[in-house]
Amino acid sequence: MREDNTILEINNLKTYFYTDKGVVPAVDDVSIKVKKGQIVGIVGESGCGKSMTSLSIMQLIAPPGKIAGGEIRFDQKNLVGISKQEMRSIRGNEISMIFQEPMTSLNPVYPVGKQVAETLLLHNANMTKAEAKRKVIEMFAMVGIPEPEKRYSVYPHQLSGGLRQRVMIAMALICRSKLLIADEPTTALDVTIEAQILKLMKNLQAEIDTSIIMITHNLGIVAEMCDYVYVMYAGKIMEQADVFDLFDNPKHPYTEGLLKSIPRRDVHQNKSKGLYSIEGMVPNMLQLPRGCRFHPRCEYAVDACREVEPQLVDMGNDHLVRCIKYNQ
Amino acid sequence: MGAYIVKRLLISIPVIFGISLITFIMLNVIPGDPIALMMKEHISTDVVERVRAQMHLDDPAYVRFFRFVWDALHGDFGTSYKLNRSVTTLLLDAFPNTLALAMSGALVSWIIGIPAGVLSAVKKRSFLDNSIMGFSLLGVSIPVFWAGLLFQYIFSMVLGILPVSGFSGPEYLIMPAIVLGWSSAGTIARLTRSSLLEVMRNDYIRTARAKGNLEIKVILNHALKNSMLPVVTVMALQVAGLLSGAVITESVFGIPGIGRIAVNAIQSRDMPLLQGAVMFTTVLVILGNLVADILYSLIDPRIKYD
Ligand SMILES: Nc1ncnc2c1ncn2[C@@H]1O[C@H](COP(=O)(O)OP(=O)(O)O)[C@@H](O)[C@H]1O
Ligand code: SF4
Ligand SMILES: [Mg+2]
Repeated sequence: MREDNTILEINNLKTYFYTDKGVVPAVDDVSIKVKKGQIVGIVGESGCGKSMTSLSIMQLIAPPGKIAGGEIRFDQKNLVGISKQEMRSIRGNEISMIFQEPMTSLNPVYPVGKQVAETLLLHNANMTKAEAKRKVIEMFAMVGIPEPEKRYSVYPHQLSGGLRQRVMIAMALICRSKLLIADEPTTALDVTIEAQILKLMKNLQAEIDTSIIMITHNLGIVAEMCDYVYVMYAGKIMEQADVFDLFDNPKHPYTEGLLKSIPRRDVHQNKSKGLYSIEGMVPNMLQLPRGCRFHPRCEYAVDACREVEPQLVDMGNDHLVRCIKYNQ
Repeated sequence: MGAYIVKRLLISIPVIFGISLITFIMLNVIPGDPIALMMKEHISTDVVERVRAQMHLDDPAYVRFFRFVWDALHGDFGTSYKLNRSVTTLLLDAFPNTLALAMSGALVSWIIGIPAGVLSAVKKRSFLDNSIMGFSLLGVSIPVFWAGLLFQYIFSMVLGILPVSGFSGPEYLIMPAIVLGWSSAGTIARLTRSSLLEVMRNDYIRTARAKGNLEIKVILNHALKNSMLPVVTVMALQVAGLLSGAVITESVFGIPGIGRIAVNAIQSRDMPLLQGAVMFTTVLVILGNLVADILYSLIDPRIKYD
């Protein structure tokens, strides 16, 4: 029962890494839906499988990783098992991606403008180089790069991190992609630049009418940007809800922990105390705890949590949660 | 950039001076009377004395050293004891032969080494990769003289399609160039492979893929240029090394180049000739380094010299 306005529907995606030491279920039976024009968040600590989820959508999982099951329906088409050629025509054109590290995501030996123009020329066989250059400069202006003509021919190392990320955004949107995956786009930037980039993305989203998957470990960013959010832990979705619903009414203990660890710009942080963080660490993906993956760190854990893996339970209002507390 | 080159050349002056001093000292420590080398037996002491005086051999060493430096600055490296000809002329006459051999040898090693390294990296851990790496190990470990003799046997003796040795036409260059190139092609291939594999792990390679590039374009357009940085350094030094004389190759194939001159000079204790050859090599290696650095900055815009 797919609605017409769904741009991306991931069903039961499994992305596993077949290493010498065993199988790593980096993405373990994940289902995600993105509607047209929506900004969907995926939030979770580092190592929870967020990047592997996005690279699975792009079909850029490298060995020993492999999509072991599930489907990724983009615009009705299943991307799992699609031909390489067909996937190439989608990458950078219909689905594009911004990465965490603006410092290293651009090729150091080519001018930035040329790198953006490359995407345009790849997907528009008839476009001339001059035309591509004109469009890139227009896009540079649109993403707020000052003196766009001059910036066209500078090299990445001559730009600040914030400007480089603007170049990456220009590259991602130059073909007016239907879906933009932003994998921690501001994690490497300082707070003022972060705010500017997020505002830019939100404005462009409205202007170009693209859908965005916003990956972050910071629920604060989710609150500012997203319409709907998935909370991911150790390869699994733990909770999913409308953003307002999630903040007003968080159900999963992990979500509660994440909420408490939001860095707050308005309040002066007490440096010596530091930020609240959930006790313990993300488990070793090769030796996942039995039962609920979160139980070693959960303050509500009971014996049953160590036995059976809880299922996602629908709490109504599109709010689902994976915790034994809601299993009645 | 111009200012940088001038600065580098200025810095190399003391280096060249130092090396000429060291060689001068070493050559003067080695025993052997040059007069005896030049003349046949049974000459009168009278003549010997006169020649010694003419050649200033009785002056103190430091005087002779500074005379050497002064003359060298004027392009005069003295006269070969053995051949009785100007060292400068001898070296300049031999240089074109060495240049032709070095450039063709280097070219062969790049034409084989770089594509082989790229293929190896792309097909990492495949049969092809293992074969290429195996061959490159052979290239590196088979002695040049042995490969030279083998080639001579096959192509001249058995097949009779190439001249055995000598140097009187382009066809004389084919075998030596392949033998010489083959031995460094292995090094270039290994270096290209490891550098390319390293570069392929970078974030910007993932970006290039995410744009919808063909994998071959990702490698050729985005990875190869970056991966050439360490390779170029080795290539420039390789050329400098070859230009200072591929001693063994020149000997095996009878090519009258710098390497042969150096070997002969050592055998006959021909001090001026040997000193001249060493100075020549020093300058070439310094220039090779400079060229490598300039190429570096042409490949990588992050490197700016000033
Ligand atoms: N090449 C690999 N080999 C084995 N496991 C991997 C590999 N790449 C990623 N993983 C596993 O995938 C998990 C999820 O990684 P990732 O998606 O990058 O996390 P996130 O983006 O949420 O920080 C990691 O914890 C790691 O165990
Ligand atoms: S299932 Fe148990 S351990 Fe897991 S989150 Fe719920 S209460 Fe905590
Ligand atoms: Mg990540």
